[in-house]
Amino acid sequence: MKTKYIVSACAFSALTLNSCVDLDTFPEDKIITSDQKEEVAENDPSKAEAGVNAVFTQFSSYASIITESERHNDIGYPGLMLFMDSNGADFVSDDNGYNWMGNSLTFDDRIFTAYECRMMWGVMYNQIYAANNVVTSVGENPDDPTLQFYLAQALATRAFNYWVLAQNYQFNYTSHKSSPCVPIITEQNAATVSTEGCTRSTVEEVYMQIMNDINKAIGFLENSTIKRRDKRYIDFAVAYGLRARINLTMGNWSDAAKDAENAINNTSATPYTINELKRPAFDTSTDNAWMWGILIAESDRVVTTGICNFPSHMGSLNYGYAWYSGGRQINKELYKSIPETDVRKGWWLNEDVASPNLNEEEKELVEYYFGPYTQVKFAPYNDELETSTNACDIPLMRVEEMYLIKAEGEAMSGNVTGAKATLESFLRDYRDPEYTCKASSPEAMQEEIYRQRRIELWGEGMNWFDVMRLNKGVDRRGAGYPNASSVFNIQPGDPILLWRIPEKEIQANPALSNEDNNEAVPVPSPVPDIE
Amino acid sequence: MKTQELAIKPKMNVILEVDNKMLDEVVVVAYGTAKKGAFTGSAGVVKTEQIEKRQVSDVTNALAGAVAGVQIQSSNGQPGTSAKVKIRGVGSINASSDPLYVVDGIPYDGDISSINSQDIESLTVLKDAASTALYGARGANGVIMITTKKGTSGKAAINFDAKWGVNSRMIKNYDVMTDVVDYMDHAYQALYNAGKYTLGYDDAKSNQYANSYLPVKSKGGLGYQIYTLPEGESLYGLDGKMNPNAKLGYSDGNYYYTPDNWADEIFSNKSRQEYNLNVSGSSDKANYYVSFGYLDDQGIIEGSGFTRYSTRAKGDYQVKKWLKVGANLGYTYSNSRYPGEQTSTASSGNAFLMANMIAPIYPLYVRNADGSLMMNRGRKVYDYGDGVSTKFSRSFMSISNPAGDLIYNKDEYLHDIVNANWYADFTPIEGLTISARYGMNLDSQRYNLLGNVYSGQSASYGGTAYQGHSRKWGFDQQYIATYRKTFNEDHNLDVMIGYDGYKWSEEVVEASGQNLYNPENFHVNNAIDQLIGYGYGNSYATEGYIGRVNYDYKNTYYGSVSFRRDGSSRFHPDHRWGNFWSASAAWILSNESFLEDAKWIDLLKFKASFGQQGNDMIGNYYAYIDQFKMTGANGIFSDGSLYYKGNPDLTWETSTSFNTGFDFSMFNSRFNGSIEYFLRQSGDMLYYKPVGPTAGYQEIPMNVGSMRNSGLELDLNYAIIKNKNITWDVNLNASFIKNKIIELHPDLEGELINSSRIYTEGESMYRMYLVKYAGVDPETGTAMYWAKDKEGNAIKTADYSLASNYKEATDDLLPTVYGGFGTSLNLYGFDASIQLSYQLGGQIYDSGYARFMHGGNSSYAGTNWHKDIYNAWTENNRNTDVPRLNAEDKYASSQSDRWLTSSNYLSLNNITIGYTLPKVLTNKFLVDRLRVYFAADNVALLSARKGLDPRQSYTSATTALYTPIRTVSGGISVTF
Repeated sequence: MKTKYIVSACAFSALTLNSCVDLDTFPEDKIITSDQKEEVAENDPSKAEAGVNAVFTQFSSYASIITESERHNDIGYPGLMLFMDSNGADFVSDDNGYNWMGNSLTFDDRIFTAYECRMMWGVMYNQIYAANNVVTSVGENPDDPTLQFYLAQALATRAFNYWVLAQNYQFNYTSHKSSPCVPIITEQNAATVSTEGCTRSTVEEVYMQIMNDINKAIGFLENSTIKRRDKRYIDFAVAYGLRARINLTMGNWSDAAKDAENAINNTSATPYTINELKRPAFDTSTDNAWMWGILIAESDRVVTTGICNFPSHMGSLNYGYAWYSGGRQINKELYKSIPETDVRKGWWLNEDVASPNLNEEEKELVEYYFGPYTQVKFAPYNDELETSTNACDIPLMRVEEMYLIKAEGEAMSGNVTGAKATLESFLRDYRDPEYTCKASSPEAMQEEIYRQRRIELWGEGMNWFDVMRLNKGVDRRGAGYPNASSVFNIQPGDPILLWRIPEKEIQANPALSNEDNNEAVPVPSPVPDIE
Repeated sequence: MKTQELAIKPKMNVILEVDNKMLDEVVVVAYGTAKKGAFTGSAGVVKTEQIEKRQVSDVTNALAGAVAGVQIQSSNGQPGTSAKVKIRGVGSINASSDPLYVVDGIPYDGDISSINSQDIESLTVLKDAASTALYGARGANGVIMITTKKGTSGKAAINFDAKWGVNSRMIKNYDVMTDVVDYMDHAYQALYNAGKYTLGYDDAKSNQYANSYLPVKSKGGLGYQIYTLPEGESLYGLDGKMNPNAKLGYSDGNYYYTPDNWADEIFSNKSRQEYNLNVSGSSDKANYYVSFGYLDDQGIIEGSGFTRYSTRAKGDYQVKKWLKVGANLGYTYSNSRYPGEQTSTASSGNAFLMANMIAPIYPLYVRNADGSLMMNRGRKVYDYGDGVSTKFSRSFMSISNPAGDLIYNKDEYLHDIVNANWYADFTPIEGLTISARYGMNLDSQRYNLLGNVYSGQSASYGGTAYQGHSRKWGFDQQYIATYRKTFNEDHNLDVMIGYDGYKWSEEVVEASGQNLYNPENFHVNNAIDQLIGYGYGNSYATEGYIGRVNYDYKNTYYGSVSFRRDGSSRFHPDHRWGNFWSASAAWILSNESFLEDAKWIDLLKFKASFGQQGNDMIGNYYAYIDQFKMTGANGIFSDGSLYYKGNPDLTWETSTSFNTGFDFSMFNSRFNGSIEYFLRQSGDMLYYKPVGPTAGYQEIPMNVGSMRNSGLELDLNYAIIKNKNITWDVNLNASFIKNKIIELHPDLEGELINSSRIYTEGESMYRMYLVKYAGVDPETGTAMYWAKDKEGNAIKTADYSLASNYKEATDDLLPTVYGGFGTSLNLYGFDASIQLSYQLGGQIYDSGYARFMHGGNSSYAGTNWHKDIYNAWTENNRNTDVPRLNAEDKYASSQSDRWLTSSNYLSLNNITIGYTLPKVLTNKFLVDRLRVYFAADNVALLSARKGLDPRQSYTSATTALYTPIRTVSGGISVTF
């Protein structure tokens, strides 16, 4: 009879021995909590750099904006590059189900509930968030050279991010200084913005923020002893290059020229040579011409998706959406303006669907999938034809652009002769040995340089900035758009050119209301095409 | 008990006739059982007889229409998948509304389909706070108690049941075009109208434009040439009629193109077979139940199916007078051939999307120039419409052919599921029971995927291989002490205290590769490129201290209070503990003297309960803390990309419930039922508050606001005839439910808009926020939408982007009433039953229909049309609400309130007819009972529009989903 008490007593003691359930649980994954991050940083201080690298990883983050459904164009900044290019008149494509840039082709991306509208906004502010995090954790004025280098990375990319935003959400600096631009989120208000919101600053205020950041970054990088490990990071020359762009956008012509020259002098990058351009290229940051880029690894999520990446949407020679969407063509008029002696003529297929840059095998492939004027500028990853591993790096800055900025800066600050020399020597050395510039006024020079930029930077997400900066419209007549419904002639200053703040921001940001948004206007109506 | 007067005989067995069966029936409640009479809460029970009738591979599907207050929604007919169960509405905007499953007393996070429904004795749905508060943080959405069978009779019984049946599609497609010419005519019209109305061409040029683009994959053309024309002639004449010389079928010299019927090729009637064997029995001291089951359900498409072997052994043993032990071990192996994408409504891999939506003009197979099917080493070659399989590129879903994928790809999930419970009850002194109970559930899943090398997307990678393994392990331990005592004969007291600790973890490893050596081998070592491995783990834990006191006086006045202090790992240590409680009472009026004379009343009980439960199901296991993505390559790490914005202040959503009503039984139990009113109000709702993306993230979890569900439930059963040879029962249940948002985050100023949904204080959460359709402009034929001009006056506009700034909230979409009814008849050995469910008074967004009503724009080119498109605007048909066909019109079928449709439905869930052979006959073959039967499941659905299945959700329905399966079977059931 005793046993029952003993056994029951055991049962009771089990009742009290319930410490076996531990309510502190953590993920054991590529997802890590902030507590785990701290623990890692304590055990291995070298991992502190990982937080800084996030500033660059964020550029190619997959499916980070649209969470309710999988959008195959939600691929970070390269996606935005494609949207912006598709807005313009140089980046021709067919509006079909496999063209994920269709909404940007037709400006449906301006509808404030559109996925693309949310991506443009969200991608940029996510990048700013990552930069702000670094500024917060490093502090404003670190003494340690490593920390200074880290801070410079954050500040320079932040300047870049606001520079992109500023040009998409308001017309150009010189004519719209006091117009509303975008909310400025920095380490100062990052913690409170989720509850208090933030209003739109003016164009001038945003550019002040941009200048501040880039100047500080240049200061830290000027005497930095830290050598960047690869071209994802920003070095002294890239920082100068960024400031050259900013000055160009602001119309500070001589400063732009000076910064561009400094960038050229301080970088180890040299333009692609004519020989190098006799084949498709622009796929790896190890190419000499690259100053700054998004580095992609084979194991990155955008690559492992197979088809949700920049090469998939863009590339003619690799597996991806472009094969089925009809690919990306150049504006027919622009193509025709390229002389036969210019090596860049081979970046696109001619009327007979051929390019001297392609070998037999490639020729057969492009003939199968594409029509005239389709790009073959971009090489497949590792130059492997038809590869389905789309791990190409994405160019963010090439040294060629610096020559063009220098020339434009010189021209617009009155030195037309110098500008002409800069442009001619660059083009003769690297693109077209027979090039002669016929322009003689600053404006004509600028127009010619704009044409060169359209050709040189085609498909690299830069064209839209020129459209906005130079107050161009979008005239697609005669460009070869396959759909009548995409042939527009949008006048300069048309409000449709401005991106709109997404509905989600307007609703959730207590400091913004519908009246604060850029005007809602109908999408453009098609106009008759001209041959 | 009735007193029985008996003549005294020398040898006599006194059998007391049970007067009121209801009172003695046992209800499974939290941490134990209660007599139905003493039960003060609200519960609905589905018994084994009802479950056994249903041919479901997942028992949740058998709940449809069976219990008042329970609604079943399913958007996936793949065999072996669970339905969504909603008990008394949805209590939260963002947190899960899934109930908690408890199997034989142990919380169960595993796959319900791993439990053989034939092993289930009963499903008890606990609905109110008094019943669920003891489950604390996890009880807010109700609890479904699953009780497995045990031995009942003294004598060992062997039951064998076998059934064989055929699956077919329950829901047929919408009323779409099936005729090739019919479709071609309309596609031509769309292009012609584009030329005429948009591009401003004259008739001749419009005709020429349409003829030239019709076979092209651009501008709204179809991408395929399927007609052969005499040299120099066009397919369509100026009169809009097809050239009589055009012959269906076209050869380009290499290939021959002619339409196939995709639905016929993709869907086929397949078999379902199920065998169950169980042996059970009991003695004074022991009780056992052993079962074996086999189920093979082939679904209705290739590559899909569910095969399950299940075994269960359950027993208990009274070791000593003071010690009883028991165990329940279940092992299930299942092979679920579950092709992905079948519920992705935009995926080109979705066979249902393709078969239902594709225009009736496209070939499914590749044919040689002579018209014969092309074969590749004995395999049919499928046309992926990608310009590679043939010369043509399909406008609708090019690069895809699910028919080929389903045959040549391989998607399988192999599960080993072990479910084991052990318990020991100690009774050291009279009235005191101390129980220790352990439950373990192990779900080991292996996922194998072979992406075929022959054709389609995977072929572009040279074939893909994927192997994954996940191991999910849940462990629960309970220590419960119960003390029962009766004082002064009339005062019954029952006190319980206990502890319940639960932990759950998962470990996952996966590997994938591309470019296969052996085309038929899914193992990753068979691949040479893009070899990638993954591995991760997660865990979750709760623990709670529980207590309950039940008291009754003279079995007439009942009272009960319960309490649980509960902790969940989902929350910050400072906010993880919560207190949950309930109080309830019942009064058996029929025991009172004032009802003494009402002999026709067997039981009349009034009951009321009030209490609080919690909900911690926010979705993320670590919702209180910021989470980042760690990525990198080549020695460079990155760990600063935000993955999830956490909130350290996050805690339970609390649900406060009130329930009251009557249970009754009359006319010798021939008429019984219950009527209940409930009110369930969630507070501190778990909710993802949208944040302006400028913050660098888009939402943050919070406890904000409150919402109320209230309603009335009615449950009635009546035995129309009840005698020795004939019984005829009817049953009906109805639930009237209202949903209302009481409070939202103050920042929102009373309104939250989330794309097409709007949440407003004081209104139901089931309202959509849509552009309002303004009909068709009789002059132009374009779709018009409501917008406002600068002065704020309502205007009609064809500019959808303008109208999208002036969306409006719709009415409440939630149905007014839903429920089920049925009848069963037993007649001299024959039995028949029928069970239906219904829903009335709601609306649903019919996105399936919307997709079929496009205007021929290039984004829809090659999508089939609903026959309602016949009524499209033309110059001779100006008064219509269907816009013109025009390949350049983008907004002909845009999202708007035009697509709201009544969600009323009547669904015939089950018909069973059986015959039990007379015992005298069967006993000759040592058979106790032999029944042959015929059963049909998911027989028919009546809804507002053919093809519309409003059972998918409260808000929207589509046809691009794995359709529910109808199964018609014959079977035999034998008991030895």
